[in-house]
Amino acid sequence: MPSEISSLFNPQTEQKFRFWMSWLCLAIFINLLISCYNFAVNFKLDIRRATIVDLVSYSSFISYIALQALLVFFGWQTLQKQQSYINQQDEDSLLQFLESKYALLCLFAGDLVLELVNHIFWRFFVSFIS
Amino acid sequence: MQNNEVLDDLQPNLGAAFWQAQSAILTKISKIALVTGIIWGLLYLWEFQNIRLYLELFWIIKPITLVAEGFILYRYYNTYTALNVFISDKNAQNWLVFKNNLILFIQALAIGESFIILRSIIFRFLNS
Repeated sequence: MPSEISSLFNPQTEQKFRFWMSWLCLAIFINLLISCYNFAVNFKLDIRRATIVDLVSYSSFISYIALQALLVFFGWQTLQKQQSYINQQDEDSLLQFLESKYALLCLFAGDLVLELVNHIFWRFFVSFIS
Repeated sequence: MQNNEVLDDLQPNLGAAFWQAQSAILTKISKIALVTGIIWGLLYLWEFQNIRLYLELFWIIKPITLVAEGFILYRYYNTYTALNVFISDKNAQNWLVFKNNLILFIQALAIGESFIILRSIIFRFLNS
């Protein structure tokens, strides 16, 4: 175990990160299940009669579900990388842990942008068409 | 070995190019997220003026959502600032501040997601 990396290691901070990250992943996973249930119950798309609003709302719901699934996957992967960093405490595992954190932050930014586009679409575009 | 010396040793190993590339990417992402979050918050505020048009429950739900969004945005901004401080001056203290801010941001998101679950349950219960 390289002493340089291990001296940066703080078990309490890692434990706190692990706890909140696990909670976040679980909460997003439950939200994903709720979204899938709502999608199955509420969306019955008849492609021959569908309007542009139906198609956009259908695709926006699918992309929202896909993004939630990606967040759960990357969150779980970040936890795996953290575990490997805790076990090995070397430079490679630290770099991989950092990279998965960056990927997760990218997805959160994407989530914010998607929700804003969705909000603007429903608030302005749909009321304009109807 | 002191923590500061450790990070000085670590920096060439991790590679200056790595830090610069990550910093550039994260700065762009953070700016997009911050601008989007602010616009989203303003849209909520604008809708908040028409609150009388909504169901009675929205008197409670909308302001809580607004506060939660603002809180998450505040945590995001703190994490972003701490990371920039760490990148410009890589010492152990700044590293610790960044990690603690990141945990607080994840914590805010986790509480926000739990709130969304609670909201879904309340609406499901009310609809039935």
